[in-house]
Amino acid sequence: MKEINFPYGDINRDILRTLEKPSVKYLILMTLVVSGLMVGVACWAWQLKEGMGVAGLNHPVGWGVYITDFVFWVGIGHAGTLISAILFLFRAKWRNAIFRSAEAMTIFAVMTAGLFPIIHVGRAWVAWWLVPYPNQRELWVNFRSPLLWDVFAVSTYFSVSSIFFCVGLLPDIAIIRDRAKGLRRKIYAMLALGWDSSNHQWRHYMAGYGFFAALATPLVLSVHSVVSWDFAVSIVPGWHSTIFAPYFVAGAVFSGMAMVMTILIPFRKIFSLEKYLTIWHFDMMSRLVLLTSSIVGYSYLTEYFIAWYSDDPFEGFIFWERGFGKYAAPFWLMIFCNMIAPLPLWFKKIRHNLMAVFWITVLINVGMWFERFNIIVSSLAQEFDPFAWGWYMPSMIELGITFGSFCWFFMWFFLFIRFFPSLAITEMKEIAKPPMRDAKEAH
Amino acid sequence: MANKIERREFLALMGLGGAAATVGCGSSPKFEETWVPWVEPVAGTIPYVPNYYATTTRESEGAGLWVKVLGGRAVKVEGNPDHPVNKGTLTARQQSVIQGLYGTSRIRVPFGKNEGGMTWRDTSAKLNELMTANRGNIVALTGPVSGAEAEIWQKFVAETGGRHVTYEAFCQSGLVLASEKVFGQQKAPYFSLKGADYVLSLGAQFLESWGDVTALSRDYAHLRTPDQGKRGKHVQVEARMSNTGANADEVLHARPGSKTVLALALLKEVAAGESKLNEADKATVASMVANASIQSAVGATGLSADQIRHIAEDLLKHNSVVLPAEDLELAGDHVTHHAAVLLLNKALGGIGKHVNYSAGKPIERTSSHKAISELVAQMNSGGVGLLLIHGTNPAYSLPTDLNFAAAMGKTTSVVFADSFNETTALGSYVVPVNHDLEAWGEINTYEGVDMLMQPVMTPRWDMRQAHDILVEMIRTANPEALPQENFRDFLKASWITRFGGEAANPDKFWRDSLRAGGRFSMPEQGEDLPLSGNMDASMFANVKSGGVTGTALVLEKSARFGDGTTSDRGWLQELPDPMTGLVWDSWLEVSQETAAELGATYDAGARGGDAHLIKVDAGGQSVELPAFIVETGAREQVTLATGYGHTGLSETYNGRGVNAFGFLSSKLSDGEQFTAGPLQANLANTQKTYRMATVHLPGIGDQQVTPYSMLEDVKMERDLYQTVGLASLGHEGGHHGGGHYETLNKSSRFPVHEDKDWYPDRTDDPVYVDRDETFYDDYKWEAAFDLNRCTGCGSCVTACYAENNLPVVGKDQVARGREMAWIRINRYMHHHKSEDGHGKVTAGFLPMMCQQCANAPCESVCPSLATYHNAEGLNAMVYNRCVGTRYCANNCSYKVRRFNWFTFQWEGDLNWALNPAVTVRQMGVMEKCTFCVQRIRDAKDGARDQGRKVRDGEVRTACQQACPADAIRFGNYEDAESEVHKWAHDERAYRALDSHIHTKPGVSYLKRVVLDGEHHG
Repeated sequence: MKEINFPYGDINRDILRTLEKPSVKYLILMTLVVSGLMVGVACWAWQLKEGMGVAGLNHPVGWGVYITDFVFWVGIGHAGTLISAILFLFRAKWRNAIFRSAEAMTIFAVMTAGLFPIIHVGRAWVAWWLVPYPNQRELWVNFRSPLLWDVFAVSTYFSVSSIFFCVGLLPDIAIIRDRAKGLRRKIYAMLALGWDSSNHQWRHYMAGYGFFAALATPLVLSVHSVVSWDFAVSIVPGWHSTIFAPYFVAGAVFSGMAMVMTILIPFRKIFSLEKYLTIWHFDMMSRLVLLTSSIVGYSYLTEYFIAWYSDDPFEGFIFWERGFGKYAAPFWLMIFCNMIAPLPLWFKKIRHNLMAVFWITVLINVGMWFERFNIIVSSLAQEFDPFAWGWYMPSMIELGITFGSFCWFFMWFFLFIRFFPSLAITEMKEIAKPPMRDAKEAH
Repeated sequence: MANKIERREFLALMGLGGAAATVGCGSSPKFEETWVPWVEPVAGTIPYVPNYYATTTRESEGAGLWVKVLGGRAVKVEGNPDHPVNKGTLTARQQSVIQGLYGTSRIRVPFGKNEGGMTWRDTSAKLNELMTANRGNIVALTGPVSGAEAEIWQKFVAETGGRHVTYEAFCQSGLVLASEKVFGQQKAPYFSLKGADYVLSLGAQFLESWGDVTALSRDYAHLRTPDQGKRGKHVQVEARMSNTGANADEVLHARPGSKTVLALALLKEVAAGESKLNEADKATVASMVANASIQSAVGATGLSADQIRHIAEDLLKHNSVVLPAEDLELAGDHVTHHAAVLLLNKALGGIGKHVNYSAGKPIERTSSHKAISELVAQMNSGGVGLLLIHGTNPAYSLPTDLNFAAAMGKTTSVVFADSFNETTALGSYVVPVNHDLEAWGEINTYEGVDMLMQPVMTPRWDMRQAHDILVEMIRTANPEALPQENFRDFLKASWITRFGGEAANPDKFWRDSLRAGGRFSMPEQGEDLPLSGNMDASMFANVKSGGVTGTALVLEKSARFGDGTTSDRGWLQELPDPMTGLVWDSWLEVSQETAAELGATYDAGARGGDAHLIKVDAGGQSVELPAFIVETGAREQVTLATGYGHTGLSETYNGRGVNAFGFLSSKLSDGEQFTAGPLQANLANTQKTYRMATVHLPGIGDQQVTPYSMLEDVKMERDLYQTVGLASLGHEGGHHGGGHYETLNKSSRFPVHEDKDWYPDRTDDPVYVDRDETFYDDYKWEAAFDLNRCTGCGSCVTACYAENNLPVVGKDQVARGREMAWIRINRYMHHHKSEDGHGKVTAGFLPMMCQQCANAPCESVCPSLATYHNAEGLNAMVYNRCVGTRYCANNCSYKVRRFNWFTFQWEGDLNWALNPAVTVRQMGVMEKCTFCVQRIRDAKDGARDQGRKVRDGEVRTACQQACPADAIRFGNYEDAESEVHKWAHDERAYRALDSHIHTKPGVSYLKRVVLDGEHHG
């Protein structure tokens, strides 16, 4: 395959370059990210002290940026498992170069998403009451509530994804262990769980990995379906819709793939990994983005069609208002970013222009954030009783926490590329030309 | 400080015991005192079982009160059911008395302008010294007083050689003088709508601030109730639409200042028609109104001749009442106007029935503005030696051109007051006295309504009753003058002398009177008095219209604050104005046309918005006011309400808005009243904006019919506020109402543009059939609201604040859409297109609280089971279990759930009025109406002790109890005989939104009955 043209011998060196002594640039970046995180932490601390009132939430808009962030990050957390599990099962070769960082991104995105339900509840200090376990308080949870389904869906997804991720890391950690010295060696030795790359181990490993992939696959579809039911099972016009599960899953994959590209394009440049992350990879990902963009766009149109076809005046009204009411600006921004902006990807020339692809994916991320914002806020703002309508604008505290969440996410990602191989070494070797054959051919 | 008491601290203090109760700090001005409740109950009391004391207060305008006292402190004010006027109900303003008691403006120690804080001994000595030094030149300035209070003041001025002047901002001297002229009665009559079936109000806002709102609302509700296909009619004449006008069947938009001309034209028509006047009177009246004519009324009012003739015909056809214009709207013709209205009522046969002089208020109990003008002139010339002020706040409400402040500077004055205000700020000496709930007193509003005021708790601080100080001064002046040593004994002796003549046991008579709250023997009917022989034949000769060209500024008496006495009440500041929803600030009400001319706009935010500040030049005053644009405004008029712009209250309440009394002129009218009249107003847009807080979303969210889309002709009416035409009642038979769950209320037109069933008829669906009959145990609590009775006054809202410990959140939070009211008054505007092309706007009011749905959307989404359906149909709420996801509020179709965005604090000592039966919520917790579950609990406990079920009417919710219009029913739906069950099965009954989303609400609404041709439901 002409897209895979890196010499076997360079793989270890090139990929493990990110683990070397950090540059000044890296340290500066890390400082910025941690400072940004502190901003978010300070905002949250203020909110815990003062109350939810420091957010822009009100009656009737009880959910705003926090839940938008939650759904956004859960969505981002979709690409990783999709790439590592589903594409693994389909034996899509282009996944090998990107799945590790995508998977790491998934873990960190879900870790970020998991913060938001806690941040958004009025009494974060009792949020653990939502976990059902026999207790002396004689409290039990309401299994009819979709918020509880969320607790299960997200925690299951997080545990399975992280186990899958850790298992995938094993052979690579062993490689680092073999090259490391001193304390690092001891730590990596522990993490490697005694991996010695024996044939025996590989045989079991590959079987196990396959099972994990099969196990993780339904979760990719289920977690965002359940998240969508947070909205779909309510009676809020604009939320109450059967299309939500597939629509949200497609949206999640869409935003997840976009985020992978947003991160990998600069990453490849900074760490000179052009050999491994080629135009071909981005071409393939762009095609997936194009596909999911079409599904998402189709869903938007379907929502409007159903709003008209159902003749439910409340729903019709909400959708009319979404497009032409007070929240029209975020709506049209969403339409532009998610439906219009990806269209140039139909052209190979654009797909191969990484600068263009980068900016398109950034727009998609913005668009997908606003998609959730639109769904959540504009539906709540104008429900059944016109007298109880209201408007919502995020407060600085909410934006601060959102900013902090991005920093939190990137902090983990930067730590990850510093301590673990961000491309799967062993899997890159699987697709690279084995050195032995090269030797034979030379003769 | 007492306001920071947490539960733990509270328990700790209880442990310390009563001895540690007060930690005096000597001369420290910080008042480091702490209150603690009773540790050891007083013999004969059961902890947490309240005592009720009957009393009354000046602030509540003499309404009969029952004060709920728990553990030695007053916690809530309720209406005295035996009182002939308020009959157990209260307006929002009257309920706020308790906040006056615990308010932050209370004064704690006596002080002198130069001396600073004083001890009581020094104060006493100083007062006696001043009194002795100024004997013969002492003026006592009080509000209107009567009974024993009047006697003690008379005694005081007699013994010290002074005189007594009374002052109130809204005096009735014009009406009294007119009564004297027309009927020879020196009285202000009692107006009653009882039995009337046609009310013509020439501007009186009798459902808000004019007269006795409780009684008028009650009788008005009867007038509106359909009986055999008929009901009374109400026509309101006013330029803009007030809350009262919003309730009217017809609003006639007459120019401001034209009411007297209109009254005379009507009088002429009525007197000439089949009136109740005898021939001689007819001739007298005809000669008096010779100059009046329909043409002049047409010119003055802008109404059509047909409209005026039509009213005159209607007046004659019915059992009619004519109510006068608001005194603030009359320029200089108070007596003329009231005389014309009294003559109209005479001609319609309403004297005695509706205008009752037998119950009238004698002239001694009223006041006029002449006396205060003379007094201020005398003070300005240095002619007053010592001025004693009690129970009135002239510095706030007197016209600015009287220069009261300067006059106070030239006079040695002693102000007796319970709270700081503008007058205490000017006094040489300020003596803190008991609040009316801590004091003895007597208020006699009408003939036969003699009320006793008794202390319901020990005074909050070491302070004295004003009248006790008077007794002391009288005894100093003349030791022989009074046999009693204190005012209580004086009051008792006076009461027994006046009323207890035949009583065998005077002490028992006194105790019984106290228990009853006084003596109630008001004559319900008066006599149809003959016209007095000495009417001035030329009285009406020179009546002209107000003479304002262009836009007039009209002042309005605030229903919430009146003359400003109740402005320092959080409940009232946060009670939305019924028509605009505004809170915490004053505003200039402008019409859309005026706003367009000025280029003024209103930019709505969450629940607040930015309004343009308008510079108003009128009557020599110039102020800047935010313009609030209303659809119901009149081009000819801008309106400003009283009660704002204080400078002498506690910090929170100072500097809010503009004092409307600043526009009063010291020029006295023919009725000896200060005049505001319609003032020529020059308006200019300053282009500055100002943040307003309103619970309405003007122009968007407050419409009964909302656009379904941008397409102009596609609109929908939501199944919320509904009306029904009078003629269609009683014809549709069967289960018309939505009180049943069987049919899904197909009568609601929804949406307007098509006629089809939106949701399937579930009549035969086995899932739903009979379910509500089998689900509940002995009780299913339900409420019913008659929209036909509801006037939108907001009394229920305040009652809920008082009963359920609702926090007052302040202007900024309301502007963010975070008001905490559990019951709110939705106001919907409706635009009618009449055939002649002239649009008409009406407003409807819908009280909205938790509907306690049987299919509650909120319950299923709560992850922690903090809200659930109980076996009695309540949508229960466990605050302590709430994690605060707010999903319940999102999923609530009625948007009645309220979230604690912060741990809201009670200002000062207001937390002492908290109801111990209701948990105080902390931040992060959802809350909402639970049908006063604590009251249900009480009633069930009582019933269980007696081995029976709760009787119908035994549980009354706080809102129901306060409602002056008696528009609320509450009870057990399972009991087919209960009133709520009957109301739910009324042909007018429906359940809000139920036909759309099938939430099965536990609240029924009874459609408002509109006269035919106006039905739009």
